[in-house]
Formats: sequence, structure tokens, C-alpha cells
Amino acid sequence: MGVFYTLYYATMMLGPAVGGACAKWAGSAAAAFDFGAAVIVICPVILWAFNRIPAALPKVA
Amino acid sequence: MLTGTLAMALSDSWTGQIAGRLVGGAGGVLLNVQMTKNGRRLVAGREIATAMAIFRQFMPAGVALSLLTLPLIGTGYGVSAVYFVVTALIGFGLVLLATTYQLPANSVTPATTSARLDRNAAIAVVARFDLGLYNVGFVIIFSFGPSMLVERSWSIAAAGSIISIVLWVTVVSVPLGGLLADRSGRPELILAGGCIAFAILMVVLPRSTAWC
Repeated sequence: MGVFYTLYYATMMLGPAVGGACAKWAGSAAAAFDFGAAVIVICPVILWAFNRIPAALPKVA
Repeated sequence: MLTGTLAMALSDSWTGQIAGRLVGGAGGVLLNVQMTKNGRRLVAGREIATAMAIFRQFMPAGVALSLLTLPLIGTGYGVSAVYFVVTALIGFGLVLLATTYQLPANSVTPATTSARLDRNAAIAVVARFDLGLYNVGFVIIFSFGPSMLVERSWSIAAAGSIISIVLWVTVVSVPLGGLLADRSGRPELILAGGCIAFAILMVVLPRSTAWC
């Protein structure tokens, strides 16, 4: 759970900062929305990868 | 959480505010970790997607309720009053937790070896990264939504009010999604479909002329 939440909060800390950088670079807050849409589209892809981890990892006796 | 919030209520200095936030935030994270762990144990073997969706939605529900009430308290009685109210709520919550919460009798903590930790940690990293990314997308809406509307000549108050509707909608929509995931038997399809629809709407939203 420690690893689980550390990564969660790290992502939550960095994500809005990157969104802000996108907005600043584009000169409009709308760019942050595009960044948000991009990261949400990645979620199903990661879910797909997540489902394949148990098969990929070596079996533990 | 109590100590940090109380420190923020009693301190006028910037250092005191930051220290209080740090201590309170650390307490909040620990509570979040423990509650998630215990919540999963309570609903193990049952409709876990529905239960966890309801559990998670109490946070945005609390944020939305705070957005409605705390500014009124702050305007009327000052910022310290806001922190005292939050401190009282935290204390009330902890008393409720101590007096009503019980782990199921058959609950056991599985032993872990270092090898299992490595394996589970790898799975946890991917799972949490996924949820973290979803939340980044969600947070973008109420972090940058008001700014986007202000760019389109909305007042800050009106923009904040409109964007806070997102939080209220999710109070209902996310538990419904969890229920749908459990009942349909295809939770991953529901999750993937929901994420894609969410992303499409986020791309369409800033390009819509309805906001102008």
C-alpha cells in the first residue's frame, strides 16, 4: 500500500504541474484539458498492461 | 490531521501554515492508505467495484461540500474559523471511526515474503499509476476549468460554481459506474469505455462555443 500510494500522490503532484506547463506554453488553459484527455486515454492501455503482469512475472513457489 | 489543522488555525506565519499543511497532509495520506486497506477487507468477495466507487466518492463529495460552505464561514468569521471547523470535523470523524468501525472477525493479514513483496509491488506500481493518471485528468477539470472560463469572460465566481458541478455529478456517476461494472460482469470494458468517453468530452469541451 505504501508503494501504491507513493506513486499515486507523485502522479497527482506532477500531473497538474505538467498541465500548467502545457497551458503556459499554449497560452490557454484549454491545452491543459488536452493534456488531461491524453492521460485519461492512456488509462485503458495501462489496464491492459496490468492484466498481463501476473502472467509475465516469474512464478513464486 | 488534527494537529496540522489546529496549527494552521492558531498560526499566522507562513511557516506555520506550511508546517501545519505538511503534518495534516501526512495524516490524511496515512488515513487514506489505512481506510482503503480496511475497506477492501470489509467488502472482500462481494461487489467490490461498487463499494470502492462509493468509498472513493466521499472525497470529492467532501471537497464539493467544502467549496459550498467553507467560503461562507471564512467570509463571515475569518480564515481561522474555517480551520477550527475543519478541526472539529476531523475530530468528529476520528471519534466515529474509533467507536463504530470494526474489522470483520475472519479478517487476516497475509504474511509476505520479500519475493512476494517484489511481485505485489510491481503490480501495485502499475495499478496506482493508472489511478493516478485518471485523477490527473479529473483534477485538470477543476484546476484549469475556471481559468478557461475566465479567459472567455466569465466571472471567477460563476466559473468556479459551474465547474464545481463536475464534482457533484461524479458523486452519483462514479458509484453508478461501479455498480454497472459489478452487474455487467465486464468491469474492464466499462472502465475503458468510460475513460475514452471522458477523454473525448475533455477534448470537445474547450472547443465548444457554448461557453462563449
